[in-house]
Amino acid sequence: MTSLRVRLSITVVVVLIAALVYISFRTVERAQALLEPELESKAATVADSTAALIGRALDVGIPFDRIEGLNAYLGRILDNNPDLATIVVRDASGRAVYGAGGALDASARTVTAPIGAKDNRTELLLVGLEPSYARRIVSALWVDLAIIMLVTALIALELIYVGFGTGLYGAIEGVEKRLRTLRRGDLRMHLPVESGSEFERIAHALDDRLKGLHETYASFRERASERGDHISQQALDLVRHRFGLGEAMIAAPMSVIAVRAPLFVFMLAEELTRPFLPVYIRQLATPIPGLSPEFVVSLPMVAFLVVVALAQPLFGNLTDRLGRRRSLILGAGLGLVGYCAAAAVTGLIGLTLARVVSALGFAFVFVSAQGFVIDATDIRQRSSGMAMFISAILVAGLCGPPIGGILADRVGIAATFVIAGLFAAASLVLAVLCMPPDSARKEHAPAVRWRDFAPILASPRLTGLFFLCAMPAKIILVAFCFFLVPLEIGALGVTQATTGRMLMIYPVAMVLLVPVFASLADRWDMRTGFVVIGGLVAGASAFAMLLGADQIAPLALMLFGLGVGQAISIAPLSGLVGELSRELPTDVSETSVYGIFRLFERTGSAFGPLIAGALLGLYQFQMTVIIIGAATGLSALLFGALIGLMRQPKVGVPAPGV
Amino acid sequence: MIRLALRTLPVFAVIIGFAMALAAYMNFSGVRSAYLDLIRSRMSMMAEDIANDIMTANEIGIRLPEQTTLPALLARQTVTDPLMLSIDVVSEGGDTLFSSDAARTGKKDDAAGDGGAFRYVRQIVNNFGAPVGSVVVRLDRADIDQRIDSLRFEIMTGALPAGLAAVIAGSLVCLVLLTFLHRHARRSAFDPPANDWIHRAAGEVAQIEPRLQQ
Repeated sequence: MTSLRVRLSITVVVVLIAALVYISFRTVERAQALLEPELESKAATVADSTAALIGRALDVGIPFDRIEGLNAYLGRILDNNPDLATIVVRDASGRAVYGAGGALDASARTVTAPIGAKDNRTELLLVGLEPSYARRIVSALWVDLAIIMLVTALIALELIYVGFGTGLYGAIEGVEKRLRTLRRGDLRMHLPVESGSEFERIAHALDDRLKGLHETYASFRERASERGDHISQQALDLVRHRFGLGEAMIAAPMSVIAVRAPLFVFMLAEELTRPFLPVYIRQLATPIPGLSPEFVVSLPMVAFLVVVALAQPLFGNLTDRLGRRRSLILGAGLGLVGYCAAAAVTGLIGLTLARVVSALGFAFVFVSAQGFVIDATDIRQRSSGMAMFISAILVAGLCGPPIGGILADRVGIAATFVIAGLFAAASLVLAVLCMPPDSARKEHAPAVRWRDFAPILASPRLTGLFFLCAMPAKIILVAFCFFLVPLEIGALGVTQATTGRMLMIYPVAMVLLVPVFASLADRWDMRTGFVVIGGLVAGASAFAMLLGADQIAPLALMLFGLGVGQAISIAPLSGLVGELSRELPTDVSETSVYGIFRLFERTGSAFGPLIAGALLGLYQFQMTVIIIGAATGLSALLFGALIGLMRQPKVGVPAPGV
Repeated sequence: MIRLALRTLPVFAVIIGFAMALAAYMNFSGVRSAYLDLIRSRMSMMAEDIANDIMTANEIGIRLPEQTTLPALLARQTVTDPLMLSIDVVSEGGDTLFSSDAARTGKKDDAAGDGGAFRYVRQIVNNFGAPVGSVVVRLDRADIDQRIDSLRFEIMTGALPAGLAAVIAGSLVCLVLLTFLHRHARRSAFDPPANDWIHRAAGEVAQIEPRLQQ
């Protein structure tokens, strides 16, 4: 059974399609009424101008049927005016002597102009209007409208529970989960549901039925154990394996969902700026002596990423003390100020400061949302809670750039920054509405313990993983997706909406392929292999630029290759951190190793635009991309070689006495 | 259940409202751009033709201020277009040498103060690349704006009922889905079929009981 959330999102898409088709048809009607008189006026101007030109040729004595190059000239007029379908020059008998475009459509409107009328000539020039021009204008918008529908459905999927309220939605989803598991014979107990609603009553009734069965099972188990009845125990084991009796579902509690809407909406605000940020910085940038313009463009982005990288480990304790809800509200407020300030600034320094404020907001929101999930889950539920956290960020990454691009094209970059600020404000409101008040402070060990750096860096394999895989993965991601591609597409002269659509390629590949490769890497127990292959594929994607640096298709191929490469490596990379951390001294906690791993990743992110900007100042786009790609691939290979060299030989342990 | 479905109304209203507003604005802005492009394209053709005539005369030695046939040409070009305010020929110094609107002739061309006009300017340069003057085509901005405003109003008023209908339809479907889920869940909780998995599992567990009682 498809969940209520998915079915409601499908509903949103269906009703939106109906509404958008209706609006589009109405727009076509209105466009025809507005454009047709103007089209006729323009056609008349074209006809008069061309007839006058032919008249001048006739005035200087060129015979009417020997005007050289007239067909090509008429062809050029049609090429430059897509609103015109045909131009025909007829002689006195009505025979078409010159012309361009197809045959005159009987239904098409035409405009005529006499040629050489003052000399009593009777030749005629006809200009036929393109009958479907208004419809073509509106249908050209359909790509963007389709993206709006997709994004709206995804947003609905994320936010639908806000309408019901977290408690009630939790009860509805809880009932759905129970029905789903019951249908496939999975009779494990579920986490209790509390909402004070009819759905809670139903969930309790279902739980009571399950509880009765589990209690009977437990009493039988106890009796069998007391009697030492192995046959009964085996029979009970079989029942347990088959139905999950005596077991409970491991899932994040529904309270975790409270942070999803504010987190998603805030991330959406930041993602809106992706397609145009480098272009905007370039517009505001003024030359700095000794620095290339491309390097200068990277500076506000570097400032943002450095602040995020440095603030995240420091904000862990701060959000502990302030409370998760209050911290998220503070972060959203800072985001609102930062995005609105970015819209108002007129220079590079102002923009950099605005981005620093946004970065502080981003770090607050990220850390408090992550902390909220950690607070609400125990260690067994953590993965499921973090999956919810990560999927909210990924979906925002999918939805933000195309909408940001469309908005930047239509209302301008500054206005889109203001809209991003409004999204941050919406995140603030959602945090107030959805998140529970901060309770007593929970003590957590710090995510990064500085004294753990030494033993971690003393491990060649972990150091290799951090420097040769984790950092390059973030460098290439930020350099390509956030910096080089938006700049290059801007230089190609295509719209911001196109940039936004291009930036969807990477998250789409990730969302679809990460679960597939994660499960394969686990099943085949080949994490190192997947990390190396992923790095090679991501690096090799850069060589798509050899197919043509100034075309959209190779850029799309490159982003797809990057997405596939990182989808192959991202989950195994994370898993490998845990695997390799087992060789560390026991006082180094896994949490700390992961904290340091994330710090390396964020440092890589901060280096991304810096390296790309420096290289772009020295070389062209194509060479810059290839250097970064080759370095990423080479790093992955080096890591593979390092692991291969350090692999402990499997020596058979001699039997005692041999 | 109806109360529950109604609770989704604000979310549907915000999400669908945002999508509809964006879609309606895109439709409007797509048509507006096409309309303004058409106008600009027509203005550029007019200005181009006049500039060509001026350059032809200039090539045979008639300086711009001496091209006295221009007012008639400008008047002919203007008369057929209801949007046209004037076509001016302006000297390099910014003086209006000729205009289809006699009142403008001899005055300074003030682009910044000409807010009522939708302007297109075509520079004229001689064969040596030296600027000679410019042709300024001026259309009635108020008329153009009024047509665009009317387009905006009609698209937005079309989008509003469509958006409202979409929000209501969304909530109705939500009601149907919730009712279906509720009915199905109630049956499973309070009136389950005899062969559902809990009954089957209970049956299998019960089969073990006689052995434990021995």
